[in-house]
Amino acid sequence: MSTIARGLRNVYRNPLRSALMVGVLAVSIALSLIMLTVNGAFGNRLDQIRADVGTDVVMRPAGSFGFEGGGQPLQDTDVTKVETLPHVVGVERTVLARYTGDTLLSAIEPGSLGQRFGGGGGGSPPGGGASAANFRIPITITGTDSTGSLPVFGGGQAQVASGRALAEGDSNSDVAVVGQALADKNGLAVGSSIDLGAPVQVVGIFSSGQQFGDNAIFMPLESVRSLFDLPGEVSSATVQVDSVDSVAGVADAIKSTLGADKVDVVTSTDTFQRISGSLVDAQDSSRIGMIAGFAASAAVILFSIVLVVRQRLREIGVLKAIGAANRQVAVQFGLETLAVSVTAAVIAALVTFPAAQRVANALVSQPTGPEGGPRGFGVALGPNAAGGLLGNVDVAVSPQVFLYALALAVGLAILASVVPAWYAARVKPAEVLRRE
Amino acid sequence: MSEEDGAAVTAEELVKHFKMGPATVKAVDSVTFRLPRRKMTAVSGSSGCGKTTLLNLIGALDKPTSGRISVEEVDVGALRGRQEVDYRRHRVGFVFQAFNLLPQLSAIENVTLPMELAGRSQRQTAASYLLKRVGIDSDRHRHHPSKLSGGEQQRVSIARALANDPWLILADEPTGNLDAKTGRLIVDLLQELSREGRTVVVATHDVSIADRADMVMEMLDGRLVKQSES
Repeated sequence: MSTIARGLRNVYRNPLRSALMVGVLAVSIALSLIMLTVNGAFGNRLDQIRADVGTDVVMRPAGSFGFEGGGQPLQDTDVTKVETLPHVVGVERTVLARYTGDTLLSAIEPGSLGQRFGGGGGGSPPGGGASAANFRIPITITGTDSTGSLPVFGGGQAQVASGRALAEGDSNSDVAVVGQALADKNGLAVGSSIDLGAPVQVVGIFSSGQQFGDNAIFMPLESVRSLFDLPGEVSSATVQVDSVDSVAGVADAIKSTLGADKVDVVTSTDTFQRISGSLVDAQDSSRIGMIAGFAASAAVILFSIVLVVRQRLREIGVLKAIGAANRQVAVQFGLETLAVSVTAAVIAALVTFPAAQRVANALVSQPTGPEGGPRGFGVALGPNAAGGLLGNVDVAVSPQVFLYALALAVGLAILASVVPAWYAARVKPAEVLRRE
Repeated sequence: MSEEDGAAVTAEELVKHFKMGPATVKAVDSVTFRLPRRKMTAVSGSSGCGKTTLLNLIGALDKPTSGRISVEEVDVGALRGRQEVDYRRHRVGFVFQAFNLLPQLSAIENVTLPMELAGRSQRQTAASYLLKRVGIDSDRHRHHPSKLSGGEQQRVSIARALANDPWLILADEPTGNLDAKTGRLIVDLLQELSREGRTVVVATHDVSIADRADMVMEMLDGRLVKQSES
């Protein structure tokens, strides 16, 4: 009988003891594997969120938000200064205007909310000219030098439903991409012309999936400035930064260059931290759990092997008396340890499949907060948006977990083999045979 | 002792002390002797007189505190590491009072174990031969020690001691756990081994066994008090 066969057979010599060892070890290894898997899933999700959030810095006039607040508008000269800052790879400007004229009908009826917010006693009518009785919901006109993207006021991107988005060659043209609801209300289609003080051709229809977002028009930046007499004005600008690591530095540089009293800055890092806070906490917890699992596994196997070896000192004495070298004794016990740890690791890996997702769900708490938190242009800002971006952490346990389990089992066996090796070297056959 | 036989084992002022708390126990106290080759020597004396310790020193299971123990001109007390392992594997075979068979192994596996440790081939055939040689029938070879009688276990233990064909057999109270009849059969077997040319040293407190030995060394409180040839 070989040393391997003898070592394996010894595992089953005391089934109850072996089962207990395997059971306790399997629990601790399972904890390690689950936490290892969950930790990896959290890391992947964080990377995804980081990618989703991007590396943008949004700047807008200090004290203003959309059509709310006050302060002085930013100018092209300010944007030019920002463009020269290190790590800035591009700036997209936006200018906002409101149309309250008669040639286009708003897609949204004022209703009691509209009367309360804009047309009743709560404030003067937008556009300045309409009385409360004639109040209409203004149509938002966004001038942008961005091509391809249609950032919806309130967050998210609109999709082109027909025609096309704005293109490079449109920069000074009187062309527009019109919201679906607005187009339906006014019977517009691609190729139609609308009068915004000058004829503007509809080149595309977009859909944002919401009534408010669809009550809008996208036009080239310079066209809006010209039509609404807003020369050089910038309502907001999205600054693209070369890497996540540089975002905070660029934000600080913008504030110091333009003056903190002149510009408000929102970074994607702020957003990322707000969104990912609970996930980072959960990842930290899973890391601690993983380390605790490793430590517990090591402690369990070391403690078990010490007990086993101490119970079998006489056997070690006999083996040495009949000619076993210390190495042979250590190898035999090491193989027994390996058999126990591999069995436990396989069980632990099987447990990981159903358990990992549950543990991940338990560790992640969705951020909560008041509904309808503030949003920026294309960058979700509020706690509600954070919850949406955080989403669910999908823990996909792959068969690779068996490799991790095997590696862990071998590592633990190697660690634990120190015990029989130490005893084999120290045991004096005459002493243990006399004593026992 | 005739010149042609010479001494197989010699001890000079051999001492082995044990620390037992604050006290020091003199298990072997300044013992000097010469044991003949190819003979059966009985080390006799009452329990605790140092017989087992003396056998352990001869078998390199323990180190002397002082003095010298030589087996075939080899200073056993000075053996270390690989040399010590080789000595236990090839030069000496142990037979214990408590048999000390490994309970998880069958009779034949217990006998093949020393051969395996020594890296020998054709172990099954050799072990089977040895078991038959000590009187264990083939149908008992696959039995585990718990299924064997005391006499059978001691026979298996003797077969294991012979596994690597040593010329020195050390038997520590080999009949201590056996009835008188079975004990006599075991002593017959040990005598047979010495007649075959092996040196056999038996530690015993049984006078009837000592009477059958070629030489008797009588110990008392760790000292050799009498040495006689029969």
